[in-house]
Amino acid sequence: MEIVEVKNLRKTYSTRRKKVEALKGISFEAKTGEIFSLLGANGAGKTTTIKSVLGLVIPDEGEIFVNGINALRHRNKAARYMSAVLEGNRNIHWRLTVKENLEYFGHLRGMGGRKLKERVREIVEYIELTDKFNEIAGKLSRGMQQRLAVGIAILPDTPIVLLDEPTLGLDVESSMKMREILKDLSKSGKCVILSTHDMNLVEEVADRVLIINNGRMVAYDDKEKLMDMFRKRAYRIVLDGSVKSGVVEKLSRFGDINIKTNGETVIDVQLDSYDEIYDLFDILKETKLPLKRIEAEDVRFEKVFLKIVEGSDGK
Amino acid sequence: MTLKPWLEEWYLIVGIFKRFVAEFKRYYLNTISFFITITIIFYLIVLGFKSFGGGAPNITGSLQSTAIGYFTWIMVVSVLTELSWNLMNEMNRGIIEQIFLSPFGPIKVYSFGQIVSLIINIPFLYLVMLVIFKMAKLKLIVPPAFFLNMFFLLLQTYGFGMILGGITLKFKRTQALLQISQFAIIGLLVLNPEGKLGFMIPISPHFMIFRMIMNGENVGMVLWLKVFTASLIYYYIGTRVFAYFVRVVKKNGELSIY
Ligand SMILES: Nc1ncnc2c1ncn2[C@@H]1O[C@H](COP(=O)(O)OP(=O)(O)OP(=O)(O)O)[C@@H](O)[C@H]1O
Ligand SMILES: [Mg+2]
Repeated sequence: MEIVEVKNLRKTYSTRRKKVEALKGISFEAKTGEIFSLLGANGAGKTTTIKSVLGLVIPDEGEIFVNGINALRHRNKAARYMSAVLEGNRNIHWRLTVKENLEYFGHLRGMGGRKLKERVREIVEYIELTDKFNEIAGKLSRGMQQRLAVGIAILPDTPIVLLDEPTLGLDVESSMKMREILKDLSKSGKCVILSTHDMNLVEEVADRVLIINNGRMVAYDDKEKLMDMFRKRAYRIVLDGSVKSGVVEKLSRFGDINIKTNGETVIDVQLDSYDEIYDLFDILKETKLPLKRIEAEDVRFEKVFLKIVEGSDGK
Repeated sequence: MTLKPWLEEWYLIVGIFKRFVAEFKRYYLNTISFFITITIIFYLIVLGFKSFGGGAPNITGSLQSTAIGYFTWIMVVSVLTELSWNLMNEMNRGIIEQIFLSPFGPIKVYSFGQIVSLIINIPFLYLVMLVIFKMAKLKLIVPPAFFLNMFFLLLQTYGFGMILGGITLKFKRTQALLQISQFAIIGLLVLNPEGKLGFMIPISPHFMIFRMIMNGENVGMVLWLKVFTASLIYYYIGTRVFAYFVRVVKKNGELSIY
């Protein structure tokens, strides 16, 4: 089910000095049970998008529906369905203990009584802070604070959880734990919307991806599809023997190609379209060298991202 | 997820109350030094009266007025700027957005915060007065009408607090403004609250009522209704101004900036 619908968001920030067009028409839909990832470089507009959905930033144009509710008109009503981790470890009350933090933010969402107490117990175990239950939040490590922030966000059990850069500044271990939490959330049927510029995170956890560049949508699809598109067009071809320099020159017209010769010739090539594979083989036939191996290359999401963003520049 | 509405709101108050108490306890040094400062000032007032007032027959009466006047003054000044200090703190620590995410919305959350601080502060200060009077071997007599007047006065002050809070949301570091406003409000006391629309002047009608109460005069229903109306109007204006600045800050995307 599409529980979050964003239609044609536009936002220009005006400061005294200049105007910044942060969003130039962003639209997407996020479903329950999926991890939806907003990916983009610094200043792409990820945070602005997330905060608009949450009602913390008012966009200039566009519409946002949360569980069918017009979130720009009925912010408080829509807020019942959403929780968020926005500034990581800063989103907690530093002077309160872990327990007091969880209870306080529970109360701020209208929770209370025994139900809240039980839920707090449950959460604190889940975020592995049981032994820090009565510790002041300001004295915890950064990773623990981040987990507490996540605990605060999942406490009210809202169907939508938004996270802005959830792995920023975390060490490897904390970052792994965060990935687990994200996957758990989506498995339990929540709609998880996260923003990041960490390609590895997207590759590991995202179901669908919206790539934003300078406030514009440049790709919006299933992560697997995005990766497949490139996986199929990236090849490693190994020939038995060295190719002549004339051939190398001919091959160089394929934009993204890398040729290594060392007894055998290893060609890594990324094609712009599937048709090009025929042209490529025509050229290789001329060499009369036996084909040793051909494999579709393992694509990292990083490459996918860079390709898409490069392609979008200048548009 | 949806409870009875009044129950949710009750839980909100409980939560804010618990946070107050937790901070009160944890930062008890602040609490104690605040307590001591106020006690000393009160004590000096009482002492001053005892030594200079000598054998004046109505010493207890005017001492009562002075002490109560001072008590009221502390409340007004702290209530006026409390929300702003709180907001600055929350912006500085990056926690404000998490509070704005509450489905109750910021106005309700912060109004309830003001109610809670009232519930904690009035008995606290009253206790201080009681202790001082006991120490001075005097009897503290506070007429019930005093509390009614105090309530109206503080309701109005919370309205002004909301206006300052809104300004703080937008302009962030408003320490200087807050300090000035504490003095500016003293200036209001020189205005004459009598006359047709005099009851709309902030603060000063309530001090007039205090004097009437202490002199044993009858305040009268009409005057009560007038000051109550004025307080409601100011409180309403306060929340509207606050809402306006919330919108401005959300439009500029600068809620979390400090
Ligand atoms: N309050 C603001 N006032 C003015 N400009 C802003 C404001 N907030 C963001 N911007 C600008 O809008 C653009 C988008 O910012 P945004 O924070 O949404 O990007 P982001 O993708 O989250 O970037 P990052 O990875 O750095 O967090 C940037 O150019 C940024 O400088
Ligand atoms: Mg950001």
